[in-house]
Amino acid sequence: MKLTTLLLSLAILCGCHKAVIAPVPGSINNLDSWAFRIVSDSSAAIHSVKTWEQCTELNFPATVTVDGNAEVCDAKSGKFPMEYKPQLNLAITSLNTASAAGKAYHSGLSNDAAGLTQAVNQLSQAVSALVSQIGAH
Amino acid sequence: MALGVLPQTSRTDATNRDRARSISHQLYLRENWNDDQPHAESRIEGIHIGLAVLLLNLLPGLVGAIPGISSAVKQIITDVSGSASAVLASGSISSPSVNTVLAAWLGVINALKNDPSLPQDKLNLVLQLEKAVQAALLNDVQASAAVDWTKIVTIATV
Repeated sequence: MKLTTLLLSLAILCGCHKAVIAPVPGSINNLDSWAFRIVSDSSAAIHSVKTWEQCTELNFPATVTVDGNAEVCDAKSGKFPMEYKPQLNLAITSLNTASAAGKAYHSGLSNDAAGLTQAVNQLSQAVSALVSQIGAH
Repeated sequence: MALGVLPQTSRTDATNRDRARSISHQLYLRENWNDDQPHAESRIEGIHIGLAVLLLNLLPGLVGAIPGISSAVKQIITDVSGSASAVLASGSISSPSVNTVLAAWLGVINALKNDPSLPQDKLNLVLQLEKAVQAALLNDVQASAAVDWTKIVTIATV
C-alpha cells in the first residue's frame, strides 16, 4: 500500500512537472525580456548591414565610423546594393521606434503592452525583409 | 511592412516571405499573452523563435538561390539546414550551439567562394548577409541572458 502510494505520488509529481523559465535578469516580465532580445539582436544585424552600406558609400576606406563605433571595411566584400537603402532605413526607424517603446515600458513610463508588441513585430519583419530582399538581389 | 511588395518575384522570395509570415504569425500569438494565466510560461516556452533564428532560417534560401550550384552542394546545404534546425530546436540558444551552426554555414559559403564557376558578386552578397545573421546570433546569447536597455542606442538613418 505504501509502495503504491509512493508510486502514485511520484507519478502525480512527474505529471505536474512543468519546465519553469527563470526570469531573465534585469527584466520586469516576459514581454520586457522578449522585446529586449529582439531589439538587441536587430540592432546588431542592422549595425552590420549599415557598416556595409557606409563602407560602400565611402568607397571602402580602411575604416568607417558607424554610430560612434569604428568598423573595418572589407574591400573584397562587394558593394551594398544602394537601391535597398529604403529597406535599411525602414529597419533603422523600426528599431528606434521599438527601442523607445521598450525603454518606456521597462521604466514604467508606459504600460502599452500591445503597442510594444506591435512595434517589435514590425521591427522583426523589417529586418527579415531587409535580409531576404537583398539576398534575392 | 508590406512583405507582399517585393522588387523581384522568385522562388526564393516566396520561400522567404512564407517563412517571415510563419514567424510573424507566431509572434502575433504573443499579442494576447497574459502573465496572469497559469499556462503563460509554457505558451512562451513553446515559441523559441526569435529574430536570430528567423534570420538564420533565411540563409538556406539565400545560399541555395546562387546560380550554378551543383546538386551535390545543394544536398550539403539541405543537410546543414537540417542540422542547424535540429540544434536550434533543441532548446534555448547557447554559445556552443550558435558557434557550431555558424561554423557550418561559413564552411558552406567559403567552399562556394572557392568555386570559380559561381558568380562572385552573388557569393559576396550572401557572405555580407551572413555577417549580419552572425552578428544577431552572437548577440542573442547575451541578450537572452540579461536585459539591459541602456545598451540599445539610437541608430541614424543613412
